[in-house]
Amino acid sequence: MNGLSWIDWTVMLGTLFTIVAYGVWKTRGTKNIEGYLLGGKESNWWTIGLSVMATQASAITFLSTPGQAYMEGMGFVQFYFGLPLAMIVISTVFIPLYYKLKVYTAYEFLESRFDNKTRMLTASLFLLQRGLAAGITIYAPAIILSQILSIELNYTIFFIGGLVIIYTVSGGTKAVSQTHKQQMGVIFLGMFIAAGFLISYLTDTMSFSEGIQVAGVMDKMEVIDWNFDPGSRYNIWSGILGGFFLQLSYFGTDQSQVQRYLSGSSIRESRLGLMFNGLLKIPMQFFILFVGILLFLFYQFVMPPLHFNAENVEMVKRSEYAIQYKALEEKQQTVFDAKKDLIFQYNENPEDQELKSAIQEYHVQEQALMKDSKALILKADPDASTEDDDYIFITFVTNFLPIGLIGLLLAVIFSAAMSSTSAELNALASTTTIDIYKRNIKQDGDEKHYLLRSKLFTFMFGVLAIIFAVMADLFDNLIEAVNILGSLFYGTILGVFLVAFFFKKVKSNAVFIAALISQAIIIVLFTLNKYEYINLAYLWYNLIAPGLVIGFAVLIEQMSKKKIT
Amino acid sequence: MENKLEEKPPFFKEWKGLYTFILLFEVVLIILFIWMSNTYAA
Repeated sequence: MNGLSWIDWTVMLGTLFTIVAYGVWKTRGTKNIEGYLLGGKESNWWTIGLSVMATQASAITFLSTPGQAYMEGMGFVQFYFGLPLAMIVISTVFIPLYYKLKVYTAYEFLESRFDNKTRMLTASLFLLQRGLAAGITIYAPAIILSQILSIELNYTIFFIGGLVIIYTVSGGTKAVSQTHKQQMGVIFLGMFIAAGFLISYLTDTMSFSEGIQVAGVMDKMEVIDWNFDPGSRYNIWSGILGGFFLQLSYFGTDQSQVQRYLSGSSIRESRLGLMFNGLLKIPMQFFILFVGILLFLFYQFVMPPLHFNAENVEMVKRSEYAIQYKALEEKQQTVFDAKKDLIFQYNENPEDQELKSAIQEYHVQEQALMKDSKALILKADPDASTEDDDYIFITFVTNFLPIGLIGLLLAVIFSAAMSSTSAELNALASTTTIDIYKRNIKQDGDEKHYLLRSKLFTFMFGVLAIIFAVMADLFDNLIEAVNILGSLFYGTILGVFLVAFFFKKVKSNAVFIAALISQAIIIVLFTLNKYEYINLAYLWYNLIAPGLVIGFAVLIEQMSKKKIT
Repeated sequence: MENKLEEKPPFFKEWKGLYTFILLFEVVLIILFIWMSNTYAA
C-alpha cells in the first residue's frame, strides 16, 4: 500500500495518543508499591475481565487468526475449549490462596509453601520466557505494520515500545488496566465494523446462509475434529485436555495474568473477572475466526492476490522469475472465474453433487497455485518468508475499507500490540522487584525506594524489549526459538504449583529436583519430535510436564522418607 | 455475615451455580459447533 490518507493517520494516531494520555492522566500520583504493582487493589470485575482478555489478545491474534480461518477453517477455536474449566479451577483453588497470603506475585506463594530456591526457579523461568517474548510481541506486528504503512521497521518498533513505556512506567498496573479497557473498546468496535462491511459485501451477492454453505463446500466450516491424533495441532481432545493445562498454567501461574486479577478490590471481583473471561473467550475467538471465513467468502467474488505479502510479490516480479509468476497469476484468474460461475450455479442448485465436486476441484487447484507461487518466491529469494496468513486481513483492511476506518483498524492492531506488551513489562518489573530485588538484594528499603526501583525495572524491560525486537530482524530463527522456549516451560511451572496446592506432604527438595528432571524430559521429547522420531503436538507438553513433576515429586519424597527411616 | 454476602456472585446463590452455568454455556457452544460442522461439512 502506498501511503495512508491524512484522515487515517489522524484517526489512528488520535486514538492511540488519547489512550496513552488517558492512562497517564488517570493514574498520576501513584505513591506506594501496592498502588503501583497491584493498582491499589481497586479494580472491579469487568476491568479485570477486560484486562485479562486484552493481555492474552496480542496484535498477532487479530492479524493471524482471521488468516488462519481463511486458510484452514474454524478448527483453531478448539484450542480454547479447556479455558472455562481452567478459569473455574483458578477461581476456586489459586485465587483464595493468593489472597490469603497477600502476595504480589504468583512465585511469592511458592516460598511460603516450599522455599526460596523453588520461588527463584519459577520466577527465573518466567523472567527468561516473558523477557524474550516481550520483544517478539512488539516485533511480530511491527514487521507487518511497517510494510503496510511504508515506514521503517525500527521506527514502528520504537513507536509501539515508546508509547507502552510512557504509560506503563508512569502508572504501573492501574495504567495497564485502565488502558486495557479503552484498547478492548477500540478492538471490538473495529472488528465489528470490519465484520459488518464483510457481511454487507457478501449479502450484495448472496444470502448469509448461502455464503456459509459455500464456505462449507470448501471445508472451512469444520469446527470440531473428533480424531484422537497426538500429532494433530487442534482437535477436541487436545483442546479440552492439553488446552485446559495450558490455560491453567498461563492464567494461574504467569505473572502477566496473575497480576491482572490480583489488582481486584476483593476475591469476589477477581473471581468474577476470570468468569467473565471464561464466558466470553470462546465466543470472541469464534468471532475473530469467523471474520476470516467472511474474508474467504469475500475473495470468492473479488479476485484475491496469489500471495498476500505484497513485498514478496514485488520482489519476485523484479526477479528472473517474473514471467513464470505472471503465468501463475493468469492461471489463477482462469480458475477464479470458473469457480465463481460454479458458485453461482451451486447457489441455485445446492443439492447438485457434481457442482459441489467441481468447486472443490477448483479450490484445490487454487491452493496448488498458491503453493507454486511460494516456491517461485523462494527461488527468487531463498531467505524470503513465504508465510502470508498474517497479511490476509490487513490486506483487506487497507484495500477495501473506507478512509477513516482503515485508521481505526490499524489502531486496533497497534492497541492489541500495546495491551499485551504493557502487561508483560508490568509483570516483569513486579517479579524482578518483589521476587529478586526485595527478596534477595535489598530487604530494608522503604516504599519510595521500591516504587522507584519498580519504575526503573519497567523502563529497563521496555528498553530491552525494543532492543530485542530490533535484533529479531537480524536473526532468522530467533522468533521460533523464543516461542518454543515459552511453550516448553509452562507445563513444568504449572506442575510445581499443582504439587504446592494438592500434595501437601511433598517438600521443597523433592519438587525442585522433580521440576528439573521433568524439564529435561520435556526438552528431550521436543527434540525427538523435531527430528521426527515421535509425533506429538505441542499442546500435549502442557499435560505431560505437570504429570511428570507430580509423579517425580511424590516418588522422590517417598524415597527420601524411606532413607531417613 | 455482611462480608460473606459480599463474596457471593451476582444472580446465583453460590459460586457453584455460576460455575455450572459457565460449563453448561460451553457445552451449548460445543453442541452448536458440532451442529455447524455436520450441517456445513464438505
